[in-house]
Amino acid sequence: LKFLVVIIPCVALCAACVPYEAARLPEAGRFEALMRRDLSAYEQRLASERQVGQADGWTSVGYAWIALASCTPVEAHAVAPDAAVEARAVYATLKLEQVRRQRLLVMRGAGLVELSITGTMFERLDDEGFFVRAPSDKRDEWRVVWPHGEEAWADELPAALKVETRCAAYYREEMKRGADEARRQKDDGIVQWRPVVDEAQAAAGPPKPGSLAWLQGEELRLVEEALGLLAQSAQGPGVEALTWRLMFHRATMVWRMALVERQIAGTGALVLGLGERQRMYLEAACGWMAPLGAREVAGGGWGVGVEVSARAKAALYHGMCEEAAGRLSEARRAYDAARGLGLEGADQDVADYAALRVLTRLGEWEEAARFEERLPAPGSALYSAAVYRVGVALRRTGQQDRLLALSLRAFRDKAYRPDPFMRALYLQTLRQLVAYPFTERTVEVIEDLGPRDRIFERVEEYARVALDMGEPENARAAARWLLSKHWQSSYAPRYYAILALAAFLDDDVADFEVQAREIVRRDAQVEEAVGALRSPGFFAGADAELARLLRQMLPVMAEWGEGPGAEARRQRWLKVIVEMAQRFVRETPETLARPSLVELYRLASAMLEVEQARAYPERVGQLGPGPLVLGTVRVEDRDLEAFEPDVASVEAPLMWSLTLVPQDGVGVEAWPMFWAEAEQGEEEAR
Amino acid sequence: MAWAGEARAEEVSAAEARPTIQDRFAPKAGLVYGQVLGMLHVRDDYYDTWGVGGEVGYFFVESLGVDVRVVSIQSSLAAEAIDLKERIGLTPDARPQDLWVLAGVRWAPGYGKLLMFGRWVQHLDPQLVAHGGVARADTGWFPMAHVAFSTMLHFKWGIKANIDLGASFQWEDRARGRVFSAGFAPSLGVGWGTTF
Repeated sequence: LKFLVVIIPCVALCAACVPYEAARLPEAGRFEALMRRDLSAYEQRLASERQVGQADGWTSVGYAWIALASCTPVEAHAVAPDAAVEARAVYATLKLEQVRRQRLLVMRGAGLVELSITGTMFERLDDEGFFVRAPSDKRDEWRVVWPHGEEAWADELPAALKVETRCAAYYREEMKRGADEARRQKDDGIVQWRPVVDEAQAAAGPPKPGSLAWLQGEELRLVEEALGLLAQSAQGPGVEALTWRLMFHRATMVWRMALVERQIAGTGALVLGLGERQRMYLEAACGWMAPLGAREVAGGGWGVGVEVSARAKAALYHGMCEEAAGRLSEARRAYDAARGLGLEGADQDVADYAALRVLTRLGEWEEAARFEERLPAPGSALYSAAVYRVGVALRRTGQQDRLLALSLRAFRDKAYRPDPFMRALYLQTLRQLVAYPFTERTVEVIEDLGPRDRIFERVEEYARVALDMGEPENARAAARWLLSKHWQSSYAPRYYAILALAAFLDDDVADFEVQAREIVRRDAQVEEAVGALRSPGFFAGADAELARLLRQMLPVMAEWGEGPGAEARRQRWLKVIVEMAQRFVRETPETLARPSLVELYRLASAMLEVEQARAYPERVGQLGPGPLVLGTVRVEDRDLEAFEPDVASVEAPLMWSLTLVPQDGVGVEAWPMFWAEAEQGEEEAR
Repeated sequence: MAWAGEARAEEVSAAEARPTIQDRFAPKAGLVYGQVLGMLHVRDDYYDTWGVGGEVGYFFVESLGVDVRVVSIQSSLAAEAIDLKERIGLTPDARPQDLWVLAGVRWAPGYGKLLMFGRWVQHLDPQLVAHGGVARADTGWFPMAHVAFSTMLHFKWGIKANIDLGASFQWEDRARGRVFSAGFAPSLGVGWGTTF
């Protein structure tokens, strides 16, 4: 019994001995610590994977994530070529993010952008408090920490270490490098911000690694690499959203390069005076944006991971590309898609204006007129162009009252004189007004079209437009109103000229002669006060007005046609012009308008029938053809393309994240692009 | 605290030299255990004394626990005392004891492991133990104390073994009055425990 009492416990103890085995990885998911943003614990996990021989491509991805979050080289943790394609894809996007951050910092240092990382995940990622970097102070009682030594046991795992960040120093270094590069280029007088090796650079070799040109090229290359790998990996909302973002990032990056190119070249509007390089960038950007925009046109259908605002921007850019290529119907659909998705503030104004512009170019006047309710704020750079285009649409659709209302509202907010679009709208409005009799009501409307102290100028413009539009009665009424109201007599010749032209259009020779005489009438008392010496200068304006009047009449007469009645009328008026010019030049030899009057006088004489005595001196001995006056040229709308507002420089949003955050429990296709709660907080902050 | 013993130590590079961690093989926080034990009591009293008993204990936290120990003592005159008794009729002043009842604390400040034969690992806790209680002899009950350096060995399935190297301190009533005595009281216990 005693023997058994001793033996049994001994056997039990031997059986219960603990075998020496290698440590096993903790049961918690391999990305659990990363999801908790505990870098220290995550690094410990990765070190454990290596120690127990279970490291794979995702271990390298994990180390690359830590490197990115600590501003140390991601390349130090390259994924093996035979690793899972998903791991290689995520690793490529991490390298891309590293290059993107570096480029943004260099650009900021060089002064090419106002802000560096704003709008990207680095705003949060590089914040010192975003990750837990130090091991927990709490000592778990159930865990033993062995101090590090020269040897280790296989049943132990690496302890957690503090993961240091060197982002502050990295930011300083990269921004300084950008500033240095900018200074050097300025000193050398060479601008080498371009990502593609040009002829000058080709001679000097490829861009220097780390230079902005190199970084841009590297970024595009990495986007290409990541897209290729993602195409081979499992598909799902996460991968689809990342693919979308990468494509959008690539296109907008090159689009911005085109804008920088414009800044460098100073060529003005984006679509005008395109340089070869700028055209190349735009073509590339449009090509890359096309699949994104076309899908929006077709109804979208993207997963939840793509921001609606970015999708709307893609449609907007696609519309601009289609419009520039002359595919106006496609552009219209793209703009409609962008507007349907919903944009905010200035972006909405740009989309609205772009849609309005393409509608007017398509001649869809009914649709364009509806934009009256969606005009941008008067302070917007798009306002005048939008108002003008809506005004044209209202006129084309016969909505005269609404055009008038629109004009009155617009001119209250914005002066028409310095702005070509507002000036064109002003002309449209006057053309509209002259269709109605000139009354006090007309004067009130004209007064509201601009500053009160320029009312006479606008009424005169009204009168001239009335003449142009074949409304001599209204022109006459306006001129008489001006003569009765304007207190400066020096303006009277201009108004008499309008009356004379009105008489001419009414074929009233007697009235014409009366009004024309009034233009150049010399008041005896004035002449005496001015004196003979100063007289030519004093009456120069009036005399020039007569010359201008006669010059305006000749082309109008040419438009009367070739019938016998027209010819008789033309000859009658030519005779009036000749006699008037001849008489004035004879009676007033000192006039400063003499050269132009003589020229007109001779021109009109040459057009007289040969039977007329006055025609003889101009025809005798002439071998060449006589003068020919064809008529007037009416320009319906001024060509305003050169003044088109710059909608192409609409700011494209920077993509917040271009990579994936590994997560346990779901496949790579469903991984998020950033920590959900952090991203949500960022959205709210924005 | 670790003994590499015969461990097949892996050399690690200086760059990767870092502290390591290991989950305790048998965490003690919340541990309730019981064990049977055998004990010797050696002192200069002319008796051969050994005991068999039991102990139950509870660890509040990893490093501190309490226990109660009851040991049935078997004392018999040593050979030289029998010889004296037979020759001159004298018996020792001390009286044979038959029971210890002790309660005390266990403080476990460390952790260790031994690699055995390159195949097994013996996890253990070095502990300091202090007991107070009473002992019973044929003259009645008297107070005693017991302190020990203890090693708690951990095996699979919750099996534990305790090796105590203890000292006893007693104030017993003898014919010449109350006498202080000290002795060496090593014990070996085997038992089972589980955590709650």
